[in-house]
Amino acid sequence: MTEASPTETSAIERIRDNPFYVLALRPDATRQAIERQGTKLLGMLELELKSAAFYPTPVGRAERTAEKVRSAMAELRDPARRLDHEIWARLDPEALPASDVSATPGDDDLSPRAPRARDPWPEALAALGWRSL
Amino acid sequence: MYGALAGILVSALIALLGLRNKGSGKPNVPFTAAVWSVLMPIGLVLFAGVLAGQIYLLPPLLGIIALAFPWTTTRLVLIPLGFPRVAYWLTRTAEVTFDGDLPGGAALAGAWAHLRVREPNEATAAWLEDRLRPATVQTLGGAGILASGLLLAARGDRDGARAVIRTVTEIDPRACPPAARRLAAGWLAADAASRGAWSEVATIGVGLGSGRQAWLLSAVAQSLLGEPLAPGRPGLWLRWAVAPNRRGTRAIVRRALDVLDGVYLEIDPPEAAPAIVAVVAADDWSNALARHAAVLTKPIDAVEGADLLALGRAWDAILEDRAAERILAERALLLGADSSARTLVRLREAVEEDLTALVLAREIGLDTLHEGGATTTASSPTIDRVRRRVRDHLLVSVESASDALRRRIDDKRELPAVDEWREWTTLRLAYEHGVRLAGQDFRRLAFYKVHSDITSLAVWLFNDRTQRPLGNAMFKWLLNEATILDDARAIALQTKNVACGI
Repeated sequence: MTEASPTETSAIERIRDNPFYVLALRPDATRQAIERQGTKLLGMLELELKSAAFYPTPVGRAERTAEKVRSAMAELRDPARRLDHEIWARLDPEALPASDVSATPGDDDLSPRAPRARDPWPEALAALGWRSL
Repeated sequence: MYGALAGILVSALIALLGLRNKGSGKPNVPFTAAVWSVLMPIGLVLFAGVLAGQIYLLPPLLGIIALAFPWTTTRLVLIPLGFPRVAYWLTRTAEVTFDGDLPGGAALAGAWAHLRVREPNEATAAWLEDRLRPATVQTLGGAGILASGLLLAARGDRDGARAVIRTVTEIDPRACPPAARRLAAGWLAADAASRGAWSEVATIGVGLGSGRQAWLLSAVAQSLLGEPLAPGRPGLWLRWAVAPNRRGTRAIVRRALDVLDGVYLEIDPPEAAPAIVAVVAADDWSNALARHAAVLTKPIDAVEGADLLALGRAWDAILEDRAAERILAERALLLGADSSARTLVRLREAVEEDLTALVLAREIGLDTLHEGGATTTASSPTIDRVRRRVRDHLLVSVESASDALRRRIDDKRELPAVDEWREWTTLRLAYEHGVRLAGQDFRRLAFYKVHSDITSLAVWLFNDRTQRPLGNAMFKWLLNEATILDDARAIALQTKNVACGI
C-alpha cells in the first residue's frame, strides 16, 4: 500500500485514537463508567496484561498505552470535546472489522500472489546502472 | 610516422567539428584537438612498445587512452566504480560528447558516479552542487539540469529528481547535448519502470534517438501492455543486445518474452472490489462513519471518485438534515456542553478536510466527482464544498509560489541558475498538478496569474543573467499554455520571445 499523506494519517488517527475506542466504551457511557474503565485499563497496562495491550477500531487494531488512556479520560471530562468524540465513535468497532473494511485484492494479503505482467520492476534503476546494486 | 599522420588527420576532423559549433556558451574542442594531434601519436608509439614487451609503458598509454576517449572511459570505468571527482575532471575534457554544456556534462558524470557509490558522501554531493554554481557554470544547459536532478535522486528525493529531469528535453538542443537527452530518457524510463508506470515507459523511448536504454525499455513496456505494434521476439533481443547493462536487463526482457508467449494469461488485473463491500449500517450516522473508515483504509490506488461521491452523499444525509442538529442539541444539553452548533461545524470541517486530503493525495480528478462523471444524478453539497476546497487549495499553491517568485524578481534577489530552475520546476509542477485535478477552468485562472510572473523571470534570466537557454525554455512553455488557452495576446508575446532563440 502506498504511504498515506500526513493529512490522511491524521484523519485515520481521529478514528483510531478516539477516546471511546481507546477505553473500549460506547458513546453513551456514563461519567462513572469512563473513570472506572480508565482506572481498570491503567491497572491492566501496569500489569502488562496482553488483553489490554490492543483495542479494535473501525480502521484496524491499535496499540493501547497508559498515556493514551489518561489522555482519553481527560478528553471525555470536557463535555464539548466529549460530544465531538461521541460522533466519531458511533460506529461499533466490532461491527466493521478492519480486515473487511480494507478487503481489496492484494491488500493485507500475506499469501504470495502470482506475479503479473505489469508489476513494477523495482530493481530497474540499479539494473540499468543508475544506482549501486 | 603513421601515428603522426593519423593524429593530424583526426585533428583536422576535430577542427572541422569545432567550426560547426558556434554559439553562446559553446566550447570548441581545443583540448581534444591537442590530445589527438600530440598525445595520440605518442600513444601509438607507446602501444608499439607495450606490444614489444615493455610493460612499464602501459600506465602512460592508458592515461592517453583515457584522455582520448574521456566519456567512454568515464562511463565504462569511473562511473561503475563510483569515482565522482575523477569522473568530473575527466569529463571536463569530453568536449565532443558534451559540446554545448561541457561543465554541466562533467557535473552529470560526477553525479552519476556519486549515485553508484554504496555509501554516498554528503561532502561529495555538496562539491558537485558547487560545480553547478556560477563560478563554474556560466550558462546552465541540459546536462547541468540532468546533473542537478541526479543529485536530488542521490539525496533520496525521487519525485524532485523526476520533475527536474523531465525538463531536460525542453532545453534548446544547442544547449543540451544529445548525450544528456539520451541519459535523461534512460533515467526517466528506468524510474517509470520501477514504479510500474509502463504506459509512461512505452512513450519515453519511442525511437533509438532517445537512447538505447529507453529504446529497450519502451519495447519491453509495449510487450507487457500487450500493444499490437509491440516488437516481436527478434526486436526485443536486438534491443537488448545493443543496450547497455545486458546482464541487468535480461530479467525484464524475459518477462516481456513470457507475455509474448502467453505465459501471463491475465494481463489485465482483476476488477477491483466494489468500493464499499462491508458497509452494512443501521442508520445514517453509522452508514457515513462506516464509509468514511472504509475509504480511509482502502489501498491508495483503489479509491475512486465514485467512492468519494458515495461518501459525500452519506455525509449529506447527516450534515444537511435538521434532525442531526436536533439530536446533537439534545445530547449537548444532556452532557452540559455549551453549544452543539460548534460541534456540527467542527464535524463538517473535519469531513471536508478528510475528503479534500483524499482527493489531493490520490490525485482524483474533480470531474470524476462531478455529477456528469457519476452513475447517479443526485447532487451532493458536501462534495461541492470539497471541490471548492480542492480548487482553492490548488490555486493558492500556485499563487503563493508565483507571488514568491514575483517578490524575488522585484527585489532582484538572484539565485544560482540551477536553483532558479528548481524553483520554476516547483511552480510548474503545482500548476500542472492543478490542471490535472481541476481541468481547464483551473488552467485559465492559474495561467492568468503565472503568465506575467514567469515571463518576468524568463526575461530576467534571458537578458541580464546569461541564462538564455533557461529563459527560452520558459518562453516555450508559456507559448504552449497560451496556445492551449487560445490567449491571443500571450501567444503574440511569447512567439516573439521564443523567436529570440538562445
